[in-house]
Amino acid sequence: MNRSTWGRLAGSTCHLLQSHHLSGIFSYFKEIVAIHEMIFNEAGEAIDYRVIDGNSAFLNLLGKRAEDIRNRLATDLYSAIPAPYIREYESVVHHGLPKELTTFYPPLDRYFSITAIPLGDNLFATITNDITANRQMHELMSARSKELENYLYITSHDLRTPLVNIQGFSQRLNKQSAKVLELLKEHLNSTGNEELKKLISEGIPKTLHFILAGVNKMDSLLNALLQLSRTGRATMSVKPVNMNLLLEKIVETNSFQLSEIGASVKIDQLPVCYGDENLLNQMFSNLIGNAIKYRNPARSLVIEISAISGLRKAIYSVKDNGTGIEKKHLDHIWNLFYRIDGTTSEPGDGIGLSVVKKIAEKHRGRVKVESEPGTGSVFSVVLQTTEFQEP
Amino acid sequence: MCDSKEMTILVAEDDPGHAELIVDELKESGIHNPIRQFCNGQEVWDFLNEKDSDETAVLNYLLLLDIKMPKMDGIEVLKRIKSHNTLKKIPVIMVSTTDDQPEIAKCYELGCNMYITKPVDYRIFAESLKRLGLFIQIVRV
Repeated sequence: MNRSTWGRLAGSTCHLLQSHHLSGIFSYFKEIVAIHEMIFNEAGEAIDYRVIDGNSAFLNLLGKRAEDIRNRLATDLYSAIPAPYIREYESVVHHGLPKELTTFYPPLDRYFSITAIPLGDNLFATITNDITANRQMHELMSARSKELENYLYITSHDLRTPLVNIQGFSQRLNKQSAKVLELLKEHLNSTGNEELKKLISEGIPKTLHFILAGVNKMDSLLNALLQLSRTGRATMSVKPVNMNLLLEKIVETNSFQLSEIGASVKIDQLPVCYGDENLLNQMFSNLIGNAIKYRNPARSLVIEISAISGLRKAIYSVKDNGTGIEKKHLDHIWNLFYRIDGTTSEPGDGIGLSVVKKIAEKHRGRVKVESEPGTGSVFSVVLQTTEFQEP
Repeated sequence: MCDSKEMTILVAEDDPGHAELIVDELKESGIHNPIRQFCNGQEVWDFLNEKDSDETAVLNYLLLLDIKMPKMDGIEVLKRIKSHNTLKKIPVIMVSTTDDQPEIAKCYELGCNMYITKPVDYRIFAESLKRLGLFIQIVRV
């Protein structure tokens, strides 16, 4: 909305406020609503603001009656100099454009999300949400998630220590049994002890083969866990990212494989988003890698990358014409180590999509998938197109 | 360097199995230098710290240093060695369980000469140690 639209809206809102009493309209609002008038000094600087009216949520928050707040100066009502958020409100009145701010207000020990709206004639309204509970829940979750990532890192690291021993000593046993066989060769040939010969030449190596296969499997699982925990713990460097350049780079990296299988990749004009370039590269590399891995061998792979811009967000989609995913698997594909059997012979560690989800969460984003078996899948990621704080 | 004296390999490793595998593999790759084992960072640091004035002895050491060890970890030992006037000349090879990039970068920043990951695939491990053997030969020359 531009300034003149806001001006018109502000004018009509003022009318509305004059014809109906504010407390009447907004009294049932959960949101804390108040109307103020900015006060300027002779030099034209905002020095204070006066409370014109407030709804019952506003009165409850302050623990006051309507007559106690009307016409009170903010510096007096809040016992604060300067008046709370006066610079932000001044800019709202001055520019005639609304502003949102998220803030911690120490005197009340609460977090607020405030939208300030200009109403014309130095008047402005504030619509405030108390987001303390949300915020606390969020902080708790974020602490828990950090703790979990730490556990994940420590356990996967420490579990590798005994694994190195199992592998190393199994290899050694293998060598030793080969040596025993050689030392006993003459004896075995002369005595013809077939059972002992078989045990040393076949039984023991076979046993060790299974031990080593198990160790290797466990090692790859631990490496996958380590990779996931590293993604979670990675420090982000959030900058505007040219998504077209990023995706072209990824396609370039995969160009050999893509041309070998005769695949084509179409990339639309994509909006710039905010994020960590390395992590976003990993995210889209995983999605494109999956499109290649789960392609339909009966037709040429076509990957289409597009985006829809929204309010401060954009949805980026990677669409393929691959094998598609059955409905019953859709809820589970983001889970760690979940693999859909029978759709591919390609090896994988089963963490690609978990990493995608983790990276999206680090970007305050979301992931989504739509799929039709036999037709293909669309993986979408919601990312921020304005600056943001890591959750 | 010091061709009159044979180089001694110091192995600081808290896991007895890993220590055994390392020593075993060094021998198998044709390295017959004397080997001295330590089971934590404090032990190897005390040993080196005592020798700090004996430059000839110091120049004949090569240290294989595990990172995660009780009492004093490998990073701390590396930090102390590389900020010590005499001891900093000792070649240090870090041996770790993970290939954590920040950790590797930190070790090189502190002045380690080489970083080896203990792979579960023992053949790769043996290969690394063979190359290490070559490295030791070069250091000796």
